[in-house]
Amino acid sequence: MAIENVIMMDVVGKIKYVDKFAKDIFLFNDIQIVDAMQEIDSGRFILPIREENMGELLGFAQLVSGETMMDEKNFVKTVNKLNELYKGSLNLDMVSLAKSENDLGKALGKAREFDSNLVVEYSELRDVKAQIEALEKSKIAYSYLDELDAQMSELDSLENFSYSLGSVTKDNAMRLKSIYNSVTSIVFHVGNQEDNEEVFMIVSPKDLEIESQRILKALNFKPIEGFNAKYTESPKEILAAIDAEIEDLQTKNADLVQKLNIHLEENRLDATDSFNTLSLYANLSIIKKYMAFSDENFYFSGWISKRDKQRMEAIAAKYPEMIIMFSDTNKGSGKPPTKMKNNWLFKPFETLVKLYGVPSFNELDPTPFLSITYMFCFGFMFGDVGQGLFLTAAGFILGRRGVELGKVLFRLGICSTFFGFMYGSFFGFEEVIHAVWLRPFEEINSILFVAIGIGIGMLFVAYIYSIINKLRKNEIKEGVFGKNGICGFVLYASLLAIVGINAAGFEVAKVLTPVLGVLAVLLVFVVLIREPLANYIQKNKHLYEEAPSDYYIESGFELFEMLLGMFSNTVSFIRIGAFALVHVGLFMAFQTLAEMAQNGVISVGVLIFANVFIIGLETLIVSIQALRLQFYELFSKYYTGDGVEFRPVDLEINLF
Amino acid sequence: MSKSKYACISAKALAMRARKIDDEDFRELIKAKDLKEVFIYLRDNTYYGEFLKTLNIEDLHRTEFEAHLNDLKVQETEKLMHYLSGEDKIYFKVFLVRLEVEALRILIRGIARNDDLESLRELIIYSRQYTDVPFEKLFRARDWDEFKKLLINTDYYRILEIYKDIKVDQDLVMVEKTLDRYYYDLVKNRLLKLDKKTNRDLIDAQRRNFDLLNLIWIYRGKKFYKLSREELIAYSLRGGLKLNEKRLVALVEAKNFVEMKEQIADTDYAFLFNHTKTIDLYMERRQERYLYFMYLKLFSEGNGSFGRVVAYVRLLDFEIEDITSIIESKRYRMGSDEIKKYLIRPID
Repeated sequence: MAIENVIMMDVVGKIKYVDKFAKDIFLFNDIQIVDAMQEIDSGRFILPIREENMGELLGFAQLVSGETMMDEKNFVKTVNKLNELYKGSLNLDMVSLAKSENDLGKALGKAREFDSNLVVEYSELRDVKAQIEALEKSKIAYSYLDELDAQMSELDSLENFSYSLGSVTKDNAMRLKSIYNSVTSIVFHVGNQEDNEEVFMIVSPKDLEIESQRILKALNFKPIEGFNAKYTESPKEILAAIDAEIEDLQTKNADLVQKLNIHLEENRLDATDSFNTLSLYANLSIIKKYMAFSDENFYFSGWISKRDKQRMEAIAAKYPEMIIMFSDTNKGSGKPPTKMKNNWLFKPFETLVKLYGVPSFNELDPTPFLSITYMFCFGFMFGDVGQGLFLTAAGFILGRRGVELGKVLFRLGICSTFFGFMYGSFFGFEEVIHAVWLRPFEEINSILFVAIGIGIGMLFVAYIYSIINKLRKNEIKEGVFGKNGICGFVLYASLLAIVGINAAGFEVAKVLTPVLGVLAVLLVFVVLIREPLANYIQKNKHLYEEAPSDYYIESGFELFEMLLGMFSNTVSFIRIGAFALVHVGLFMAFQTLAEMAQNGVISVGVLIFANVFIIGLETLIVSIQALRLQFYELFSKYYTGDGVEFRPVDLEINLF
Repeated sequence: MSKSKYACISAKALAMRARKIDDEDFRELIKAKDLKEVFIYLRDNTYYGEFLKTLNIEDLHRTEFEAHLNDLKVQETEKLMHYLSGEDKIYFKVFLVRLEVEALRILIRGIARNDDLESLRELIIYSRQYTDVPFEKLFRARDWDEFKKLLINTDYYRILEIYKDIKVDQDLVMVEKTLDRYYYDLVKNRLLKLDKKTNRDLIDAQRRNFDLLNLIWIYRGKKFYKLSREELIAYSLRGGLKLNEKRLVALVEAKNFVEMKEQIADTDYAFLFNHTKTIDLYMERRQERYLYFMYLKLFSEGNGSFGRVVAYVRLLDFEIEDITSIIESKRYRMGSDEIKKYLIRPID
């Protein structure tokens, strides 16, 4: 149905075509690459033994994994550099890639040329930036002395004393303070640094400098950089000069940036070209990592859709001496990935299914069933024309922005709107439009019974799904005799029938009830002995997989759980009716509040708040409740979801 | 209120302590013939077993064995941290910082000796969850500059950046002292942020710890390293309980050992120097046994308090240290009575 058949494709080709072939794979995209070395090692990559395959077969003996040979790092580095220069505005253009012959050598050469053109402007820019940075440092350094009323040249040329500025942590500052009086230098506290360290100026006699330095080092004293003998004036004057210098450099910097940008724009075409080719090669290297290589041949494996078989064969036909083989999933070539295929209506709901698990390749895709019933339940529980349209719009916008759940919301909103017409509810008001079907609050019983009826219908479908899934896997025990198999289904149906015909008081009840009762008891017994029964039919040696006593204890409890489950699963669906009532009730409460306010403005405010509140709360609760019904009541019956998702190449993302 | 805040974690610490090794285990360990037997006993009979499983008994290195005992400490500290929040949690993290500092010390020594840091991997124990230090990258550092650069986003960069080279012996000693001082300043600053009323005992205990460390530092600095008074002060710790700044300066200025001894005669710490011949040999053990009893008291009296939890980790420290001493003693083939003298925990 909605699960596509996938097949394993194994390819052996001549090494000289490997790049071209890898490019084809990259552009083909819809393929899940498998490590060829692993396939070969596990004996799944099998070449037919024929004369003409001799070379390829012999190649098996000297295989090396592509992992050890390929290195895409160099390409990635250049690609990233280009990307950085253009601030991410370059895009991989698949169409032009497919058309053109991409020559790696040429692209690398171009990129190099491009690079060297930039070097001049770039290095100038870097110089200016470095100068500004150095000046900022000096500015900080001299600002600690801004109250000093002396020429720096005087300080720098002291004969018997040297000075230094530096910072220590708060704790070490405390230590420094307790040795102020005995240390061989003069210590001034001149300020605090941004990172909370304290800055000191140390003036020490040159004769004792070594000793002073030792003590300062012990306190982890970090000298402040940025003092320069070329500044000779007083600190205040120096600071003014530095500011002026920085301003000059900043103008220069702006000019250079502009020039660089012009240059970049002029060369955009070339850059895009290089970017494309190099990205392609980086991706090809990644693909080649999964291949195995012998002296002459490369070996490649991957999963593709069955319907793509001919397209792949056409690709392979382009290359001489290429061997391409396909193997079916049932030949046991590992566990195939699952490729789900649904139409646009159901597609977004795949996200919800994957929340639970990806369907196994031999399982029915539950997406269509889930989609229909999920939408239906949501609408049934939360039926309102106004609020539904709001959700539709919100979902549409979110979906456009790429949020997958937004697309789900869009569909749910439409259903909500539909049921809004059924109930005649518009933003909670029941007076605005006419109810096509009924008003939930006026016919509480009918809405609850309908809810259970819908639930029974959904459970029936779940049983059918379960039976198909289990029989596909050849599980006679569960599929035929199990509680979710044919026996369980018939048992459920007959129990329902007993309840149904008696409640309705049909004439036939008298005759049918005992018959159905006997059938039900019989089926319960069959479910109890399902294991030995199935093993007997399949002519297995052992009737029981464990000790019979253990089996019957376990099975007995399971029976109990099954009967209880049939009841609770059915009743559980009453919630879809209940929530339809909650929706009305909630709004009625707010409406009463609005009336009590007896003030037009406040009333309108309350009603607006009510709508916002109801949209937020109910969307959340109802979507969770509907999902809960799916996962707990239905999926637990028929769905295992232990498959592996099909992941197409899609390597672009690996680059950045 | 504060009682119930720590009730859960305090009970947890009590339960964890009950599972630790007891005197009987220690007697067995002391009895063990050699390193291998100690290893097998710990692996098969104690909570350390889980962390020793990976070590190969045929190729057992003493230092690696010792390092892996600390795995238990990392795990239990991390576990206890789940029960803490706010300043308590921040303070508690210092126990993991301790291991981080130790690990860095080992690596820095390795760099100074030109060792391949990768070969020291087994000795490096730290909390992967709570560290900011990129240890995996440090193992690949080839020289001092590269090593320092890797630490640029950590507090350690500030400590190490002023050392241009690490090859000089004297610098190495200073770096190690500076790392220690960084650690204890951190402990002090985080300790100050704890709630003073509820954690009185815990805070006092830690401050006594500072006092003892200072006494030993000043004693040794004077006797063995002949350091100047400024350097002695520069590396002394702050936040002590009985020895404030004034007393520290007085101790540093004491002319000789007798004068120093007199100065602390009226304090609880007189025991450190009240011996004739064995002062140097047992000084550390005496200090630690003092702390051991102090934390034991904090543990048993600290029902429902944060103090009990901290005491638990400190007692675990002493336990690991004792096991380490036993392991070491096997190398020197010491007799049982001799071994007992070096243990922090008194075993009769």
